[in-house]
Amino acid sequence: MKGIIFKELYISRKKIYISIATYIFLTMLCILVKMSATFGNIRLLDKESVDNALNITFYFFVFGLLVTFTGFLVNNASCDLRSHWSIYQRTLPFTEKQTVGAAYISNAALLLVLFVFHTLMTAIMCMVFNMKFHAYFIWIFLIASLLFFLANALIMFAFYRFRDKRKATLFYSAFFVIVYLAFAFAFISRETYYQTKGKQDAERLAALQGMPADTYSPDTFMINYVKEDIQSLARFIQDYWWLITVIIAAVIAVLFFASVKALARPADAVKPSKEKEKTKHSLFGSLGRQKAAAEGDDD
Amino acid sequence: MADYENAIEIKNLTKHYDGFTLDNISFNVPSGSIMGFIGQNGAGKSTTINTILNIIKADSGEVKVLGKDTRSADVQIKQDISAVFDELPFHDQLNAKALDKILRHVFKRWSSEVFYGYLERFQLPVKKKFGQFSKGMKMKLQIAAALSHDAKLLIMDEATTGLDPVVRNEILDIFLEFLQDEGHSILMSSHITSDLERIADSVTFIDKGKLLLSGYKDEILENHGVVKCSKADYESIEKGDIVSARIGDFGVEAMVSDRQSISRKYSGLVIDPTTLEEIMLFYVNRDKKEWC
Repeated sequence: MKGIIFKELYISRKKIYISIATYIFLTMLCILVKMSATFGNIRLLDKESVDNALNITFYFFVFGLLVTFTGFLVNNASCDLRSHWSIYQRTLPFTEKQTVGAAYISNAALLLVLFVFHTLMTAIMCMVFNMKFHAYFIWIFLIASLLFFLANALIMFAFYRFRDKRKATLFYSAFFVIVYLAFAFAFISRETYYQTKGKQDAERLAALQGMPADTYSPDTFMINYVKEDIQSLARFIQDYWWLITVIIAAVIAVLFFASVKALARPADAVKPSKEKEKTKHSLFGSLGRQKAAAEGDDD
Repeated sequence: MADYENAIEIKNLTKHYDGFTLDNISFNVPSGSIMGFIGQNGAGKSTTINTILNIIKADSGEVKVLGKDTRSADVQIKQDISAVFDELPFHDQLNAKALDKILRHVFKRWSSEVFYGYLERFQLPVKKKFGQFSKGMKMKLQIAAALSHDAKLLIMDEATTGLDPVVRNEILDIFLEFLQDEGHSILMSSHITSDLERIADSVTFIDKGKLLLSGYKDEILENHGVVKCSKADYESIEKGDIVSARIGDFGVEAMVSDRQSISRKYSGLVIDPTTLEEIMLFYVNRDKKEWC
């Protein structure tokens, strides 16, 4: 399996280098903000603005930079299809489990390194920004890493299953759109609830003080609800990080076995897309070129 | 000493696609020999090879490689097999150095020395990306990779198509070197019958999914011949005695599959030796019987 792991990492090396550069660049930006807040132009603003700038920068570093993890993930299923390596590897002495396993192991190793590194960097940034290091940071990093792994595993499964870039892209894009819409719908529902409750609380407070109903803005109360929700979520993650991890790991395991099964199907198990039918002199003449075969042009 | 007589054994291999059927193909590739696999475009050569390599699954039939059934054989049998295809199946971003690092950990008997030796012999750059290679370079690279892990069986699908004669000649010499070891065998599909005439021990001819001929090349060439005669003389030949005939303006050329008996039966006829290319041409037109 070492050979395939090396191949996975070698093919992805440009993407990994770019992600490293992005991480370093964004980290430097955050440090520059801190330096500006201490010695530069941001220091000239009022205290509240300076604190807000530092808070936003700090939390951008802690959570925002998690997105760069996605650039480190190895997923060469599409490249393998394009280069016909996916066919060649059927002639090589390793199993489908080893093929998929190599990609999973590469990703797991990379994410583990990133998880440890980002936790350390967060601890350092806490000292730089004079912020508290919360335990839930670690759980969020862990769960975010697992979610990225899960998303990557899903994309890989799509390519193994459909063996066609267009179909695979449609599949996983549809999945992510559904997830996004579900979150958007939940957010909108929650926001509607905040607005209603905020308005009621503002009117109640005004009534208690014998003032007109529109004295207080619902927004003031809404901010507190959002804070409460975030704190509840953080507590939930802190208390049940193990359960979330187990669920995500179980889904990843299901995707692993599904990918292995998809990869194990013969090369001609998938109907050709219109693009494939155009290339009559492709490498493996008989593979899915049923139309070409009907025309007597199947090698 | 190998514990199998044939490097490849194919029995009643059948595979259906819409509009094409590989129909009950059976042939063997004796161990220590090179077999040429001939057929025109669409004959079913690649389908047969892909089935041998387990890239696709046959609908029925049995395929044994190096004495083991491909359906149930351990994946480790692939340590002894090398495949060479008509297009380079490596990522464009790879170079020879990276490929060596990959395949070194894939094949137990991979030799970087041998690989780099072939690269030097073929004058292939080590650090240049494969995307920048010419077709000839890509083919040489594949062959270098195929011959660097002490494989016992080399399976090639149109490996020399599109190469210039100089490169082809070089590659054929390397195949002959490969066969110096009696345990090594080659199955090579090609349109270029002159290559196969040069190096093949046996040939198998397939057309429209059906096996037409399989046997030792010299025997096939010895048994077949071309009768060149006038149209009048052609009329005296029973149609069952010929494979097919090419009718020209000034005469007829007819392929016979048993020179000895035909020359005894039609004593006045001149039967010339033939080539694999001619055999292929006449057999492809066997259904028409007479063509021009």
